[in-house]
Amino acid sequence: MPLLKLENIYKKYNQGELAVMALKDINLTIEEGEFVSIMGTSGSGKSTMMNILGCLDRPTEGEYYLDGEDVAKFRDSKLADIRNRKIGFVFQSFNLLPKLSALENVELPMIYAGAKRKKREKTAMEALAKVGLGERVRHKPNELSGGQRQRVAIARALVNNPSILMADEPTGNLDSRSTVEIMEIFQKLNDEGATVVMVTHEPDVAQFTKRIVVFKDGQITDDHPVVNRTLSGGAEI
Amino acid sequence: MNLYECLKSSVRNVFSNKMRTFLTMLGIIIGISSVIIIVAIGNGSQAAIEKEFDTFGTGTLKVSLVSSKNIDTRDLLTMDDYYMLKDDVDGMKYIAPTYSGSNSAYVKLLDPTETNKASITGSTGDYKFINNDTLLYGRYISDNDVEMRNNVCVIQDTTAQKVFDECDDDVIGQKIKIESWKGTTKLTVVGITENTDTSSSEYSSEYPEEIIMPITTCMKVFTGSALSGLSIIIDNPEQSEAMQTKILSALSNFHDNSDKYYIEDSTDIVDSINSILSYVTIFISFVAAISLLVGGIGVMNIMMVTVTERTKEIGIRKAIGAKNKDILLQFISEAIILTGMGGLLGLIFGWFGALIVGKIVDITPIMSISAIVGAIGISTAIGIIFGVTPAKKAAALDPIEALRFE
Repeated sequence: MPLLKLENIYKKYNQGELAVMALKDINLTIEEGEFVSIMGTSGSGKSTMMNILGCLDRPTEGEYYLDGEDVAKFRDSKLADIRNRKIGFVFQSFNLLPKLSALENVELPMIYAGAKRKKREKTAMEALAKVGLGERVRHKPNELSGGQRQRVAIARALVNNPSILMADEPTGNLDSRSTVEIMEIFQKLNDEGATVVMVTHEPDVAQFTKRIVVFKDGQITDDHPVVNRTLSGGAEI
Repeated sequence: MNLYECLKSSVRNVFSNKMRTFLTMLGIIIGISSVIIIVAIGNGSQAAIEKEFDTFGTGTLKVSLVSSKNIDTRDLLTMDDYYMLKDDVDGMKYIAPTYSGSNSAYVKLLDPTETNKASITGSTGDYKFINNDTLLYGRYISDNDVEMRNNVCVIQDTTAQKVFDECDDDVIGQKIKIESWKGTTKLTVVGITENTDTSSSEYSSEYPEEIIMPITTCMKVFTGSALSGLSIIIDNPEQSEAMQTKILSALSNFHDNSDKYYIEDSTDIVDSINSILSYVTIFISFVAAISLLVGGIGVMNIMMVTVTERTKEIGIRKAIGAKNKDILLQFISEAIILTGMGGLLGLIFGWFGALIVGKIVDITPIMSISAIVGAIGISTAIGIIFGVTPAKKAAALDPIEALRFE
């Protein structure tokens, strides 16, 4: 059974009189352990795809199986629960809460999951260590660099042991050095078994992944494995 | 998300902008503290009035001659009326005629050159119950004193202190000197009662010394025969109306006149004063309630602004798994913390305010448990009522839209 399976997905937006078809008849399967980048120009439907994959939005039509459950017709609270337990989000603008420390930001998903304080702190510290941010955990986001902030965000996405990591242009706000560092982290997590889906419009960044799905005008126009993959892992890059 | 985490997060948010929080709470603080002041002062004055009437004796009927009507000499109340009512009318527990001695009488103090104003009342033994006097030493004036026209009197402990510089059994049997335009009279002290009127001690010198003597002796000293009134305590206070009719008709028959007398029921007086007081309290509380309403609207306004400001945060929280219910609860609890704290501060300020106002108007404010519970309850309720709309708005935000908000 695939981890993620989309069948005949349509998404229609009603903008006044005009109906915009953002996604047209999308069929996509992602297996456990894949590292997929979704590419496309703006307006291609890749963000809409991301929102539906991340259970932030529901398709107008079609079925979406996540871990065998058809989540396309779930109620709001059920979707919130899926987002909490099965999906970890990483955003372009980090989206950390500015008043909370790095550690508290990472703890947040566990608070909504109802975990006890001791367990939360332990798990959050582990997640921060995993992304190479063992120190500075008591600092507020504005006291951290862009790369460090994105590490906090990744730690937050990991902390509830999700089935899938969803990253929306995770390197869009970072310099090239931090971009490589962040992509290394994603690769490392993927090597350890995590399924990662990443939206990006930069081909260089997509080269770090294993599979590229290209969107255009709301449809998938290309879906191919990455050849000559950029590998970090070792000393170089 | 459990309630503790929700509250912790709300407290943090509320305190992160202290100035705004304080200004928002101000409406609630003012509203609650004014209600507390009004209620505490209202309760205090009610208690003071009740205490005043307690010493006078509740459930007491007071018979007097109607004033400013064509009054004949034959209409005047005399001792004959007293004996007539005592013998002929059933259902009276105590009856005491009163005769006011001159108001310009003085009592000689310890230092022979000094005197104090005295208020002299002539009555019978039953006056002890009418006046609700507590005897500390000796005995009260008796019906025998009345019959024999004995030169005796009952004074208060405060008077004894001033005249004899002591207040114990030794005073009994000693004489006090009363001076009036009728000349000087010596009266033997047979009893000392407790002065329960706390306010009189504050005026010490100006306040007249209360002296009670047998009515017959009093009439002889001050040469008069018309009673200032008759005080009656009836067996059954429920039958006040019937007794009043009975007494009035007995008097009219006795004097062969009509509509010359009237009766006051002290319970009625207390009741009417209390009802006026409670109307005033309700009215002022209503005004205070308006300030609470305005305060509540202020809270709602700020919460609306907060929701808009924190749209992005709401989007982030939803993206990582916050349910609508979690967001709703968080914003409502922030509103409740705002108003609850406002209520608590209002309670404290109100109590201090009541103490200050009480000092100015000379009333001891009384704080009731129901006022405290009410203040906390009302301010919390305001938080819920005015917090629901902004919180619903926050909870209903679309996560995608909210995340895009900058």
